[in-house]
Amino acid sequence: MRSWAVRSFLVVAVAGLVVAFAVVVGDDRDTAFTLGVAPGLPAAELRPGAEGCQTPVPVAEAFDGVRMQVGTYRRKGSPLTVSIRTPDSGREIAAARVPGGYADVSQLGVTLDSTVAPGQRVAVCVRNAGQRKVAIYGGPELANVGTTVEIGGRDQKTDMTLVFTRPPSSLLSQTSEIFERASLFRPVWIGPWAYWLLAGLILVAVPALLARSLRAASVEDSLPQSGSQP
Amino acid sequence: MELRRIASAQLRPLLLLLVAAAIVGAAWSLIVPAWQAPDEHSHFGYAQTLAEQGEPPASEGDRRYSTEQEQAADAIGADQLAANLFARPEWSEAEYERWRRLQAAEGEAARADGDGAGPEGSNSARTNPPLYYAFEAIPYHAASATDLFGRLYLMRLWSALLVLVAAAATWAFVGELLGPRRGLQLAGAAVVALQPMAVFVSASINPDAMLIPAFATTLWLGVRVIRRGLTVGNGAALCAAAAVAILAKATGYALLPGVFLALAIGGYRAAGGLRVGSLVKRSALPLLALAVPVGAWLAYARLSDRPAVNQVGAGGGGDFDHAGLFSYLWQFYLPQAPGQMPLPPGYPSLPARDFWIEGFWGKFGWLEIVWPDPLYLAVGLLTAAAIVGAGVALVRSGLRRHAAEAAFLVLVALSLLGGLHLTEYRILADQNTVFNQGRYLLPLLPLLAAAVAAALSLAKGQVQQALVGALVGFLFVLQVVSLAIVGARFYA
Repeated sequence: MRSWAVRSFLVVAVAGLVVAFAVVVGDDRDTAFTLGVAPGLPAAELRPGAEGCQTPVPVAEAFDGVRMQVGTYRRKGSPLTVSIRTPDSGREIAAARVPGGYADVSQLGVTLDSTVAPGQRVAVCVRNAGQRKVAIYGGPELANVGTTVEIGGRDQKTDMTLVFTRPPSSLLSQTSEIFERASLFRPVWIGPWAYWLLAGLILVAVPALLARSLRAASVEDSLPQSGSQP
Repeated sequence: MELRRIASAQLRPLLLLLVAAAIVGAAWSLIVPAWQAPDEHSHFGYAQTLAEQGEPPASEGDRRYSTEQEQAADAIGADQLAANLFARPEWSEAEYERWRRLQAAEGEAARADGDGAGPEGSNSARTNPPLYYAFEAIPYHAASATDLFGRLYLMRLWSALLVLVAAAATWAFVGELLGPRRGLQLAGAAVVALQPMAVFVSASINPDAMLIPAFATTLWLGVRVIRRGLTVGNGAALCAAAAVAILAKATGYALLPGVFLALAIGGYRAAGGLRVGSLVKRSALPLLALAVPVGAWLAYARLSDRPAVNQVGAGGGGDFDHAGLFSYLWQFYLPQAPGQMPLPPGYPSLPARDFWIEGFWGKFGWLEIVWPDPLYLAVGLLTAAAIVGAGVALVRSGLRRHAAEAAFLVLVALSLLGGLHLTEYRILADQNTVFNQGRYLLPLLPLLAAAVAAALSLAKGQVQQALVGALVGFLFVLQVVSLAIVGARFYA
């Protein structure tokens, strides 16, 4: 017969796992990869007609969108064009337009007209297609080594805060990818299998061990205490 | 044979808990990217210096970290990633292969060219005593044939074992306090073994990991000495446990007032009265277990011109401002009163909640990974209920009868808390910056665990069983949620 300790443990553990599972299923994420630059300063001030490019950007995962933070100097935002190009030839790979009228310090999510494949280097160019100045937020160049912002061919010594996106999917559906990523830069004997194993152990073996531990404690407490040691 | 079977049955709940905790610890070790636990790069730099060169970092040096560490940190974007929710660790296979080629070309010399101190002693960990880092040298050498990540993650897995020691010592501590009551002992041990912040910190490279078992053991042995009277054996064990804490981190000095009190009370009880000569004689040998290793470290540090403990300013260099200290303490625990000078801008609105509840229970990475607010409310209520319940249990069981043990435990808690506040106040006066972190209170986790067990002892029979089960279930859920949040932050 199960002890009260085991019963209450199972109730709390199962209820908690159900809630956690519901959150994981409902939590959609769209990040393909990011430059990892926190938005601390205007990384590219774009006057009307000017274009700033973050280049070169190694494409770690396929993406079809870009998110960035744009400042408008307390006025309505100008329309922008976003263009993904090859850094050397300038050939356009994907593009998008952002209509004007957005608020100051907005997080703008842009969907490109095609998907950019991984394994290549690209330039991410933002052009001010309106009549008022805008600024793309970012950080100093050291925020991401090996890539920089250029305006009119001049190095700005900054990096833009760019998040490269893909169609959103739930955290649960990304489990395999998460484990693959987590197994990189680990001991050579660790692969995604280790994370699958640990996940299985935590969701099955750990609660089983804890339940047995509680049961063993209940049994011990129900016995006479003579000769017991702390 | 029969005794062994009984002992095995008595320890079975603990052993099963430890196996579960070992799995959880392994998960924490492997899920967090390298150097994404507080100050882990500083501690790895110290450990590598000690392992490669055979001595701890000097006061100052030229190169804080080895070429190997710097290249690996660059490859995964460790500095950029720290506390930056916009960043993710490098997850490109091509970059990983590039790093492998680079480190293969560098060879083994790249491991040993760091000094762990840096120009002007820029590695803040350099002032720590060496015991934890020597402990970490074991897996470092065991994995010396592997690359940096092979060594770093084995060091983490090895460090995570310390939380198991802490849980086992807490089991004994609760048993000493409340008697052999396995359900309550299990509850106490589980609070330590499954507390998310304790496991996260223990599963990283950080000397705080060694403080938790050292404090747990000291608390257990201190109560034992007080209850059973001082002997050479239990006194020496108590002093040795305190020495381990001191040689792991200067925070361990906070144990000394409590240890001296325990030795005095235990000596008094063993001698059957107040006999100074007898007390000195009984304490002398045990104190050697404290004085010899700590003295040896202090002498070595002095001879080699190293700071033996962190140097903290003296309150602005002038007279100590008692009114300022009072104002600081007030605002740490209570809302700002009219007329008080506010704390610096870096402080949260109520530091006690931010540091001692949220930071103590669960803020991960470089503290940028947090739980949903309701979970902090839940652990805050659990903490408050444990402290109040333990107080009620103490009064019910006879405050006078247990006054000596209570005084010892309160003295240990106040010494650590007082030391942290005094240090922070002095740093505030000197540099106007925040010092305290929730993890600095983790050495008191075994005491909280004992408070939880004592509070649970107020319930009887099936109700107590049900509460113990619910507590362990809650801790398990906290672990799963924490690991999921950390995994999503870094890899989704």
